[in-house]
Amino acid sequence: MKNKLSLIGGAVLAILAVVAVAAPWVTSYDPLAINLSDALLAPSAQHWLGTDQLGRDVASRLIYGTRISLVIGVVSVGLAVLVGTAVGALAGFYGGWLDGFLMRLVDTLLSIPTIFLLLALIAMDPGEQLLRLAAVPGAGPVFKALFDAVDPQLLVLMAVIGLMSWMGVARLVRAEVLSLKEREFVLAARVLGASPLRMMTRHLIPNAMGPVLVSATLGVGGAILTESVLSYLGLGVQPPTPSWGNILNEGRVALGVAWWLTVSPGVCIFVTVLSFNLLGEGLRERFSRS
Amino acid sequence: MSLLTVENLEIAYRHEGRRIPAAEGVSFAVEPGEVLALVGESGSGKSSVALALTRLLPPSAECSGAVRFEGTELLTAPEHALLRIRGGRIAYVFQDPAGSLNPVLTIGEQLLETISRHSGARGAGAEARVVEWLERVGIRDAAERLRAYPHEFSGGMQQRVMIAMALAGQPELLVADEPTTALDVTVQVQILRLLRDLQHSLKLSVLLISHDLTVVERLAHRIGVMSQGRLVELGRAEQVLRAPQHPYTKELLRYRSMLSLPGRRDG
Amino acid sequence: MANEVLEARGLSKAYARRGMLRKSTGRVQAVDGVSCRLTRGETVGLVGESGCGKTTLAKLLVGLVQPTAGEVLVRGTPLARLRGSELLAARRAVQLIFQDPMHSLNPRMTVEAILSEPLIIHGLARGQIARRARVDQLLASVRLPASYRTRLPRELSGGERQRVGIARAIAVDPDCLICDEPIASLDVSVGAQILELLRSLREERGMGLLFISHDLRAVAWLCDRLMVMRDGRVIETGASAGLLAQPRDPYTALLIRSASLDLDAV
Repeated sequence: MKNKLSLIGGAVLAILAVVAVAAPWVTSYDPLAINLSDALLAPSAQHWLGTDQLGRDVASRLIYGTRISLVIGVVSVGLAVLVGTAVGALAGFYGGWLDGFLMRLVDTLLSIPTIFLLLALIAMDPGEQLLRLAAVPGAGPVFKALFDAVDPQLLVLMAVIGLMSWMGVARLVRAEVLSLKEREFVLAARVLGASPLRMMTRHLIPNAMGPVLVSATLGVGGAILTESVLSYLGLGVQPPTPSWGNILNEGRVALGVAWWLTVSPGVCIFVTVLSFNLLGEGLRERFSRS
Repeated sequence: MSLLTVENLEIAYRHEGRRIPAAEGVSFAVEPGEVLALVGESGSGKSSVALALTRLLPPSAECSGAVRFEGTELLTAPEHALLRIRGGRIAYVFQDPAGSLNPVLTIGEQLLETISRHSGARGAGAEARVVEWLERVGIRDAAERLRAYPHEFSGGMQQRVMIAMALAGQPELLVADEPTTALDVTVQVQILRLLRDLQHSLKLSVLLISHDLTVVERLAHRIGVMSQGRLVELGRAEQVLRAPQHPYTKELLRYRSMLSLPGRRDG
Repeated sequence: MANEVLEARGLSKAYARRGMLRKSTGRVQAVDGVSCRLTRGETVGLVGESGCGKTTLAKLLVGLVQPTAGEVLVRGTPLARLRGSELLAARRAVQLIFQDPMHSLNPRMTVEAILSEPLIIHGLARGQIARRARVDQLLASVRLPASYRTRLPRELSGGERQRVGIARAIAVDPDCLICDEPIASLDVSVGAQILELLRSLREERGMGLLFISHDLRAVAWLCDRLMVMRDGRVIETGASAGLLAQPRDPYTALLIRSASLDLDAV
């Protein structure tokens, strides 16, 4: 039964990914097109999920919002896995004072309430600071190209969410590395004369990835939720760019008259996070069996 | 009449939709007071057969055929009847004593439990039996040692306790699955000697499972050779060891003699 | 002297025993003042029961563990003093085969990757084509077909995995091969084949072999010289035939009697 559920989760996510990529072709309306005469229309044949206060088609906005959510989720968790794996592997492999130092760092960062740190960071308006990088001589054009492709505000969000979650990964990887270090195939590599780098990259990390993959899958769901909360608070993705969180926020004022403005993004968030959780559980089953 | 009769036993495991056969067409009998050994390498099915006798296999295993123990058909018997036989009239000793002993109970408590369940003795009478059995399996200072926990015993001592627990229920048949494989060789000799002496004094029937032909030679009256789920040879010990019929038996004996110590009378 | 590959001098390893609250409650002497020598072409067997220190000794000899006293000399140079490229060169002289074929191979690497690793680390065959040729040669020398290159460890039997472990160890053409209980986890017939393989490899390549086992029968078949170990010490050593016929130490005599499962000897 668990197997079927995780397959369903995976299938839903695959569909969402396809929809996100094919957004321009799947949507019938421009998500940014304002049409005040069509404001707050209930769901109908022309607008499957109705329209918002500015007459924008909710369904199209949601579909474009899928892009934001998935990209933020995957990239931030990807960043967390990268940093966390490196830290955890180094700590587990070398032990001693390096391990002590890194783990105390992890403990310290874990005791800071994430939400406050996030709020503080965002309040400093890092988007603005980043834009100044585009003026730096030499590397400037690189940054400018990057910021043209991706809104610096999003970059900040991804970096911040990612940097808040690497600690859990670090602990996981460290635990796996500690237990793998004494396994015979790792000892064999030592006796063969493998360098520490080779031992970490070819032997330890690849075999430690199981639990990390499970944690990462579940983490994407968490990242999407965090982005939604931030956008809802007005600190994440800024309108008019649609994100599930800010659509929720905008729908808040019209809650009494236009239920579709809050229910639709809410359902999207719920289904997506649930699918990631189901997928993660399925992966955990597979890894615990082998 | 034979104590145990196995007829056309077939065992298969279900794993992820596939059917993996473990034993096929296995038939043999164990007579009262005799030691029958099942010899084979890993994957031969000998351990599966031992567990199948009293339905100890996991739920994913399918068994068919007939197993008759003193007239009772074991494969189809109701659960309550089987519970009385298992541990009581048919007892088991396994390879890993540490895994079979409860780490949070003392040796004495565990032995007491077995004795009370299968012989009905209670109180001081039961405790006396505990001490008696511990001494019988060669544990000195039994009255004190019974207060010890399993991890305070060496592997050999733990196996002695397992044997005591198996025999305290006064079984008619002892099934020993690789009883000495996990032990040091000097301890192996002691345990095998103990098993041999107990078998003689109690007139016990034993089904001995082993991969080691030398162990089997020391204890068995009759030997059955298993290969890939089939019983390929069955006969009196001297005959199987000196004049094997089946090519697989000859292979096993060839390797054994290859490794025998120079100047010793065997392997 | 020129043929001498490996020497242990007064080698000792003690572990601190820790009770509750990590307070030290005394020391356990795993290896106690062991000295031995191994030359090319020689087969030496190390016999002992569990806990006698033979595995710790193996780890000391390849530098996986540091001694608390004494030293290990590889081709005359103390192992503890070697660093960098000299240490790498020493690794080519002495290699190790492990007991458990289930865990001695990286489950995520193909046979080809496993066997290429020593070649890459020591720069023994440059370029993928040269390496593949070497890998095929190694597979042939352990009597495995070249098609096994693409297999993963879980697709191999125990005996086949052990052969891959042996191939990995001889890839660097060592002067001396230490085998730590290589057949303990295998069926008798498979183990016997591995013993035959080790013997023929020794003859073909002239390597020294240190064969560590609790099984006196296997050691007696393969080795010219025997060392008996107990409680961290070598209590007897000598030529196999002589030692088995006339053991000096009563413990050795006990081991010999036990190995043939002589139930009636006291």
